[in-house]
Amino acid sequence: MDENFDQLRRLLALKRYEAPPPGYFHSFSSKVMARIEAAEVALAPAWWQKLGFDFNFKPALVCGLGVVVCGLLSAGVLTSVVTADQPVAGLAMEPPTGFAVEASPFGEMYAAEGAESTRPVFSATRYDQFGFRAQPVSFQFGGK
Amino acid sequence: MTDALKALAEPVIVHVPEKSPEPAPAAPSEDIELVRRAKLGDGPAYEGLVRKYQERIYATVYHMTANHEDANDLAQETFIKAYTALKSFKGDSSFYTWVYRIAVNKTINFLKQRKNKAHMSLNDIDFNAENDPDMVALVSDRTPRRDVGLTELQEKLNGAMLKLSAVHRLVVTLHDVQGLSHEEIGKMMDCNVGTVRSRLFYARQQMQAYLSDYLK
Repeated sequence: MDENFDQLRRLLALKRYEAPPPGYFHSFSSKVMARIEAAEVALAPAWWQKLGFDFNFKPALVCGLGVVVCGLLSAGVLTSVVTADQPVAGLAMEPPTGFAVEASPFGEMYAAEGAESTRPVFSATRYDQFGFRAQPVSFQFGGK
Repeated sequence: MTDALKALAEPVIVHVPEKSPEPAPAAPSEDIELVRRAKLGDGPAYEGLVRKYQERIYATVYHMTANHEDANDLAQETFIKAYTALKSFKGDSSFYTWVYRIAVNKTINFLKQRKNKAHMSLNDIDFNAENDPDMVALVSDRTPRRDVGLTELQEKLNGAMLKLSAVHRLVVTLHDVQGLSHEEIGKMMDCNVGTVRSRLFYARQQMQAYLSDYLK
Protein backbone atom coordinates (compact mmCIF):
# COMPACT_ATOMS: atom_id res chain seq x y z
CA MET A 1 0.00 0.00 0.00
CA ASP A 2 1.21 3.48 -0.87
CA GLU A 3 1.77 5.17 2.48
CA ASN A 4 2.48 8.49 0.81
CA PHE A 5 -0.87 8.37 -0.99
CA ASP A 6 0.63 10.06 -4.05
CA GLN A 7 -1.78 8.42 -6.48
CA LEU A 8 -4.73 9.18 -4.29
CA ARG A 9 -3.73 12.80 -3.87
CA ARG A 10 -3.40 13.19 -7.60
CA LEU A 11 -6.81 11.65 -8.03
CA LEU A 12 -8.29 13.95 -5.42
CA ALA A 13 -6.84 16.90 -7.27
CA LEU A 14 -9.31 16.09 -10.01
CA LYS A 15 -12.01 17.52 -7.81
CA ARG A 16 -10.52 20.98 -8.20
CA TYR A 17 -11.69 20.94 -11.78
CA GLU A 18 -15.31 20.36 -10.85
CA ALA A 19 -16.76 23.77 -11.48
CA PRO A 20 -20.31 25.10 -11.20
CA PRO A 21 -22.10 26.32 -14.34
CA PRO A 22 -20.43 29.29 -16.07
CA GLY A 23 -21.47 32.61 -14.59
CA TYR A 24 -22.67 31.02 -11.39
CA PHE A 25 -20.51 33.21 -9.16
CA HIS A 26 -21.39 36.42 -11.01
CA SER A 27 -24.82 36.49 -9.42
CA PHE A 28 -24.02 34.64 -6.20
CA SER A 29 -23.27 37.65 -4.01
CA SER A 30 -26.29 39.60 -5.26
CA LYS A 31 -28.53 36.61 -4.47
CA VAL A 32 -27.11 36.46 -0.96
CA MET A 33 -27.68 40.19 -0.44
CA ALA A 34 -31.23 39.92 -1.82
CA ARG A 35 -32.00 37.13 0.66
CA ILE A 36 -30.51 39.15 3.51
CA GLU A 37 -32.63 42.18 2.60
CA ALA A 38 -35.76 40.04 2.25
CA ALA A 39 -35.13 38.50 5.67
CA GLU A 40 -34.63 41.95 7.21
CA VAL A 41 -37.92 43.18 5.76
CA ALA A 42 -39.72 40.09 7.02
CA LEU A 43 -38.20 40.52 10.48
CA ALA A 44 -38.83 44.27 10.68
CA PRO A 45 -40.77 44.93 13.90
CA ALA A 46 -44.42 45.97 13.70
CA TRP A 47 -45.60 49.12 15.49
CA TRP A 48 -46.70 47.22 18.59
CA GLN A 49 -43.35 45.48 18.74
CA LYS A 50 -41.58 48.84 18.60
CA LEU A 51 -43.64 49.85 21.64
CA GLY A 52 -42.39 46.82 23.50
CA PHE A 53 -45.46 44.64 23.11
CA ASP A 54 -43.71 41.81 21.41
CA PHE A 55 -45.88 38.99 22.64
CA ASN A 56 -44.08 36.33 20.70
CA PHE A 57 -40.85 36.96 22.51
CA LYS A 58 -42.11 38.12 25.94
CA PRO A 59 -44.38 35.46 27.40
CA ALA A 60 -43.87 36.92 30.88
CA LEU A 61 -45.42 40.17 29.70
CA VAL A 62 -48.42 38.32 28.28
CA CYS A 63 -48.89 36.36 31.52
CA GLY A 64 -48.53 39.52 33.58
CA LEU A 65 -51.10 41.33 31.47
CA GLY A 66 -53.52 38.41 31.88
CA VAL A 67 -53.05 38.40 35.65
CA VAL A 68 -53.64 42.16 35.84
CA VAL A 69 -56.82 41.94 33.75
CA CYS A 70 -58.16 39.03 35.81
CA GLY A 71 -57.28 40.86 39.04
CA LEU A 72 -59.05 44.01 37.97
CA LEU A 73 -62.11 42.02 36.92
CA SER A 74 -62.21 40.13 40.22
CA ALA A 75 -61.72 43.33 42.20
CA GLY A 76 -64.56 44.95 40.28
CA VAL A 77 -66.92 42.05 40.95
CA LEU A 78 -66.05 41.91 44.67
CA THR A 79 -66.44 45.64 45.07
CA SER A 80 -69.84 45.61 43.44
CA VAL A 81 -71.04 42.74 45.68
CA VAL A 82 -69.83 44.43 48.88
CA THR A 83 -71.36 47.73 47.86
CA ALA A 84 -74.72 46.11 47.15
CA ASP A 85 -74.81 44.53 50.63
CA GLN A 86 -73.97 47.69 52.55
CA PRO A 87 -76.50 50.52 52.92
CA VAL A 88 -75.20 53.67 51.45
CA ALA A 89 -75.58 56.78 53.56
CA GLY A 90 -78.47 58.86 52.29
CA LEU A 91 -79.85 56.04 50.25
CA ALA A 92 -80.94 53.75 53.12
CA MET A 93 -84.51 52.71 52.75
CA GLU A 94 -85.86 51.49 56.01
CA PRO A 95 -88.82 49.30 55.69
CA PRO A 96 -91.94 51.23 56.61
CA THR A 97 -93.72 50.15 59.68
CA GLY A 98 -97.03 48.54 58.99
CA PHE A 99 -96.09 47.49 55.53
CA ALA A 100 -99.40 46.03 54.78
CA VAL A 101 -101.04 49.35 54.66
CA GLU A 102 -103.82 50.41 52.60
CA ALA A 103 -103.30 52.55 49.61
CA SER A 104 -99.92 53.26 47.96
CA PRO A 105 -97.03 52.39 50.32
CA PHE A 106 -94.43 54.20 48.29
CA GLY A 107 -96.43 57.29 48.02
CA GLU A 108 -96.90 57.52 51.76
CA MET A 109 -93.37 56.59 52.61
CA TYR A 110 -91.72 59.22 50.49
CA ALA A 111 -94.26 61.83 51.18
CA ALA A 112 -93.30 61.55 54.86
CA GLU A 113 -89.66 62.29 54.14
CA GLY A 114 -90.29 65.91 53.41
CA ALA A 115 -88.91 68.16 50.75
CA GLU A 116 -85.38 68.09 52.18
CA SER A 117 -84.87 64.37 51.60
CA THR A 118 -82.07 63.31 49.33
CA ARG A 119 -83.57 59.90 48.81
CA PRO A 120 -84.61 59.17 45.29
CA VAL A 121 -88.23 59.88 44.85
CA PHE A 122 -90.15 57.21 43.08
CA SER A 123 -93.18 58.31 41.39
CA ALA A 124 -96.20 56.82 43.13
CA THR A 125 -98.05 56.72 39.93
CA ARG A 126 -95.33 54.75 38.28
CA TYR A 127 -95.87 51.79 40.58
CA ASP A 128 -99.46 52.43 41.21
CA GLN A 129 -100.76 52.86 37.76
CA PHE A 130 -102.80 49.68 37.96
CA GLY A 131 -104.28 50.64 41.32
CA PHE A 132 -102.88 47.69 43.26
CA ARG A 133 -103.78 47.65 46.89
CA ALA A 134 -102.40 45.50 49.69
CA GLN A 135 -105.17 43.87 51.68
CA PRO A 136 -104.81 41.80 54.83
CA VAL A 137 -105.69 38.24 54.07
CA SER A 138 -105.83 35.02 56.00
CA PHE A 139 -105.77 31.52 54.77
CA GLN A 140 -104.95 28.09 56.02
CA PHE A 141 -102.98 25.30 54.39
CA GLY A 142 -104.73 22.01 53.91
CA GLY A 143 -108.05 23.52 52.97
CA LYS A 144 -109.33 23.58 56.50
CA MET B 1 -8.75 10.41 -25.22
CA THR B 2 -7.23 12.79 -27.73
CA ASP B 3 -3.87 12.21 -29.39
CA ALA B 4 -2.57 15.33 -27.74
CA LEU B 5 -3.35 13.89 -24.37
CA LYS B 6 -1.68 10.61 -25.23
CA ALA B 7 1.39 12.49 -26.28
CA LEU B 8 1.40 14.34 -23.03
CA ALA B 9 0.99 11.13 -21.13
CA GLU B 10 4.50 9.88 -21.84
CA PRO B 11 6.73 12.42 -20.11
CA VAL B 12 4.62 12.57 -16.98
CA ILE B 13 6.15 14.42 -14.11
CA VAL B 14 4.29 13.62 -10.96
CA HIS B 15 3.46 16.89 -9.33
CA VAL B 16 1.40 17.00 -6.18
CA PRO B 17 0.72 20.59 -5.25
CA GLU B 18 0.88 21.20 -1.53
CA LYS B 19 -1.27 24.27 -1.76
CA SER B 20 -4.53 24.89 -3.48
CA PRO B 21 -4.36 26.69 -6.82
CA GLU B 22 -6.99 29.00 -5.43
CA PRO B 23 -5.94 32.47 -4.32
CA ALA B 24 -4.37 32.84 -0.92
CA PRO B 25 -6.48 34.23 1.92
CA ALA B 26 -7.00 37.94 1.67
CA ALA B 27 -5.08 40.44 3.71
CA PRO B 28 -6.69 40.52 7.17
CA SER B 29 -6.50 44.31 7.39
CA GLU B 30 -8.69 44.65 4.34
CA ASP B 31 -11.15 42.20 5.85
CA ILE B 32 -11.16 44.03 9.17
CA GLU B 33 -12.17 47.24 7.46
CA LEU B 34 -14.89 45.52 5.43
CA VAL B 35 -16.20 43.77 8.54
CA ARG B 36 -16.23 47.06 10.47
CA ARG B 37 -18.26 48.72 7.74
CA ALA B 38 -20.57 45.73 7.37
CA LYS B 39 -21.28 45.82 11.11
CA LEU B 40 -22.48 49.40 10.65
CA GLY B 41 -24.94 48.20 8.03
CA ASP B 42 -22.85 48.85 4.92
CA GLY B 43 -24.35 46.31 2.48
CA PRO B 44 -21.79 46.78 -0.31
CA ALA B 45 -18.96 46.15 2.18
CA TYR B 46 -20.48 42.82 3.16
CA GLU B 47 -21.11 41.99 -0.48
CA GLY B 48 -17.39 42.54 -1.00
CA LEU B 49 -16.62 39.94 1.64
CA VAL B 50 -19.08 37.53 0.03
CA ARG B 51 -17.46 37.97 -3.37
CA LYS B 52 -14.04 37.42 -1.87
CA TYR B 53 -14.83 34.07 -0.25
CA GLN B 54 -17.80 32.74 -2.20
CA GLU B 55 -15.79 30.37 -4.38
CA ARG B 56 -13.87 28.77 -1.54
CA ILE B 57 -16.93 28.40 0.65
CA TYR B 58 -18.97 26.97 -2.19
CA ALA B 59 -16.17 24.56 -3.14
CA THR B 60 -15.82 23.25 0.41
CA VAL B 61 -19.53 22.63 0.75
CA TYR B 62 -19.75 21.13 -2.71
CA HIS B 63 -16.91 18.67 -2.09
CA MET B 64 -18.60 17.67 1.16
CA THR B 65 -22.07 17.14 -0.32
CA ALA B 66 -21.25 16.15 -3.92
CA ASN B 67 -24.40 18.01 -4.87
CA HIS B 68 -24.49 21.40 -6.60
CA GLU B 69 -27.98 22.39 -5.43
CA ASP B 70 -27.26 21.56 -1.81
CA ALA B 71 -23.94 23.37 -2.01
CA ASN B 72 -25.66 26.42 -3.48
CA ASP B 73 -28.21 26.54 -0.64
CA LEU B 74 -25.69 25.89 2.10
CA ALA B 75 -23.18 28.41 0.77
CA GLN B 76 -25.84 31.11 0.60
CA GLU B 77 -27.13 30.23 4.06
CA THR B 78 -23.57 30.39 5.39
CA PHE B 79 -23.17 34.00 4.29
CA ILE B 80 -26.65 34.92 5.55
CA LYS B 81 -25.88 33.35 8.92
CA ALA B 82 -22.53 35.13 9.02
CA TYR B 83 -24.24 38.45 8.33
CA THR B 84 -26.78 38.00 11.12
CA ALA B 85 -24.04 36.89 13.52
CA LEU B 86 -21.59 39.57 12.45
CA LYS B 87 -22.12 41.59 15.62
CA SER B 88 -20.85 38.64 17.65
CA PHE B 89 -17.66 38.43 15.58
CA LYS B 90 -14.94 39.78 17.86
CA GLY B 91 -12.05 39.37 15.47
CA ASP B 92 -10.26 36.70 17.53
CA SER B 93 -9.72 34.81 14.30
CA SER B 94 -9.77 36.06 10.73
CA PHE B 95 -13.12 36.58 9.05
CA TYR B 96 -12.09 33.90 6.60
CA THR B 97 -11.59 31.29 9.34
CA TRP B 98 -14.78 32.38 11.09
CA VAL B 99 -17.00 32.13 8.02
CA TYR B 100 -15.35 28.84 7.07
CA ARG B 101 -16.26 27.48 10.48
CA ILE B 102 -19.88 28.48 9.96
CA ALA B 103 -19.90 26.71 6.60
CA VAL B 104 -18.33 23.59 8.06
CA ASN B 105 -20.80 23.41 10.95
CA LYS B 106 -23.75 24.00 8.67
CA THR B 107 -22.58 21.33 6.26
CA ILE B 108 -21.94 18.74 8.95
CA ASN B 109 -25.39 19.37 10.46
CA PHE B 110 -26.90 19.06 7.00
CA LEU B 111 -25.10 15.77 6.36
CA LYS B 112 -26.26 14.39 9.71
CA GLN B 113 -29.85 15.13 8.77
CA ARG B 114 -29.44 13.74 5.28
CA LYS B 115 -27.66 10.62 6.56
CA ASN B 116 -27.48 8.05 3.79
CA LYS B 117 -29.85 9.77 1.40
CA ALA B 118 -26.97 11.14 -0.61
CA HIS B 119 -27.80 12.10 -4.15
CA MET B 120 -24.93 13.19 -6.32
CA SER B 121 -25.39 16.17 -8.58
CA LEU B 122 -21.89 16.74 -9.83
CA ASN B 123 -20.56 19.77 -11.57
CA ASP B 124 -18.90 19.37 -14.92
CA ILE B 125 -15.16 19.03 -15.01
CA ASP B 126 -13.40 22.06 -16.34
CA PHE B 127 -11.84 21.38 -19.74
CA ASN B 128 -8.49 22.51 -18.33
CA ALA B 129 -8.37 19.21 -16.47
CA GLU B 130 -7.32 17.49 -19.68
CA ASN B 131 -4.18 19.61 -19.71
CA ASP B 132 -3.25 18.90 -16.14
CA PRO B 133 -0.23 16.56 -16.06
CA ASP B 134 -1.66 14.69 -13.09
CA MET B 135 -4.92 14.07 -14.89
CA VAL B 136 -3.09 12.97 -17.96
CA ALA B 137 -1.13 10.55 -15.84
CA LEU B 138 -4.28 9.17 -14.30
CA VAL B 139 -6.25 8.84 -17.50
CA SER B 140 -3.60 7.31 -19.67
CA ASP B 141 -2.68 3.99 -21.18
CA ARG B 142 -0.77 3.24 -18.02
CA THR B 143 -3.85 3.51 -15.84
CA PRO B 144 -4.91 0.09 -14.55
CA ARG B 145 -8.50 0.67 -15.69
CA ARG B 146 -7.83 1.58 -19.31
CA ASP B 147 -11.43 2.23 -20.18
CA VAL B 148 -11.94 4.80 -17.52
CA GLY B 149 -12.75 8.36 -18.50
CA LEU B 150 -12.65 11.52 -16.51
CA THR B 151 -16.39 11.52 -15.87
CA GLU B 152 -16.40 7.98 -14.57
CA LEU B 153 -13.37 8.70 -12.46
CA GLN B 154 -15.14 11.73 -11.07
CA GLU B 155 -18.19 9.66 -10.11
CA LYS B 156 -16.10 6.95 -8.46
CA LEU B 157 -14.06 9.52 -6.60
CA ASN B 158 -17.13 11.34 -5.27
CA GLY B 159 -18.77 8.04 -4.40
CA ALA B 160 -15.72 7.07 -2.36
CA MET B 161 -15.73 10.46 -0.64
CA LEU B 162 -19.36 9.98 0.36
CA LYS B 163 -18.45 6.72 2.08
CA LEU B 164 -16.27 8.61 4.53
CA SER B 165 -17.69 10.07 7.70
CA ALA B 166 -18.36 13.80 7.65
CA VAL B 167 -15.27 14.77 9.66
CA HIS B 168 -12.94 12.55 7.62
CA ARG B 169 -14.42 13.86 4.40
CA LEU B 170 -13.92 17.38 5.65
CA VAL B 171 -10.25 16.84 6.41
CA VAL B 172 -9.64 15.33 2.99
CA THR B 173 -11.54 18.16 1.32
CA LEU B 174 -9.75 20.92 3.15
CA HIS B 175 -6.26 19.43 2.86
CA ASP B 176 -6.06 17.35 -0.30
CA VAL B 177 -8.58 19.21 -2.43
CA GLN B 178 -8.36 22.78 -1.20
CA GLY B 179 -4.79 22.75 0.00
CA LEU B 180 -5.23 24.16 3.48
CA SER B 181 -2.53 23.52 6.06
CA HIS B 182 -3.01 21.24 9.07
CA GLU B 183 -2.91 24.29 11.34
CA GLU B 184 -5.66 26.09 9.43
CA ILE B 185 -7.82 22.97 9.45
CA GLY B 186 -7.23 22.59 13.19
CA LYS B 187 -8.52 26.12 13.76
CA MET B 188 -11.57 25.53 11.63
CA MET B 189 -12.43 22.21 13.20
CA ASP B 190 -11.47 23.33 16.69
CA CYS B 191 -9.02 20.49 17.23
CA ASN B 192 -5.23 20.12 17.40
CA VAL B 193 -2.89 19.39 14.54
CA GLY B 194 -2.29 15.80 15.69
CA THR B 195 -5.97 15.04 15.43
CA VAL B 196 -6.06 16.56 11.95
CA ARG B 197 -3.11 14.41 10.86
CA SER B 198 -4.54 11.19 12.25
CA ARG B 199 -7.94 11.85 10.69
CA LEU B 200 -6.29 12.60 7.38
CA PHE B 201 -4.24 9.40 7.48
CA TYR B 202 -7.28 7.28 8.31
CA ALA B 203 -9.40 8.97 5.63
CA ARG B 204 -6.73 8.44 2.99
CA GLN B 205 -6.43 4.78 3.91
CA GLN B 206 -10.17 4.37 3.51
CA MET B 207 -10.19 6.20 0.20
CA GLN B 208 -7.27 4.16 -1.10
CA ALA B 209 -9.13 0.98 -0.30
CA TYR B 210 -12.33 2.17 -1.98
CA LEU B 211 -10.47 3.29 -5.09
CA SER B 212 -7.95 0.47 -5.35
CA ASP B 213 -9.18 -0.41 -8.85
CA TYR B 214 -8.31 3.04 -10.07
CA LEU B 215 -4.93 3.44 -8.43
CA LYS B 216 -1.71 1.82 -9.53
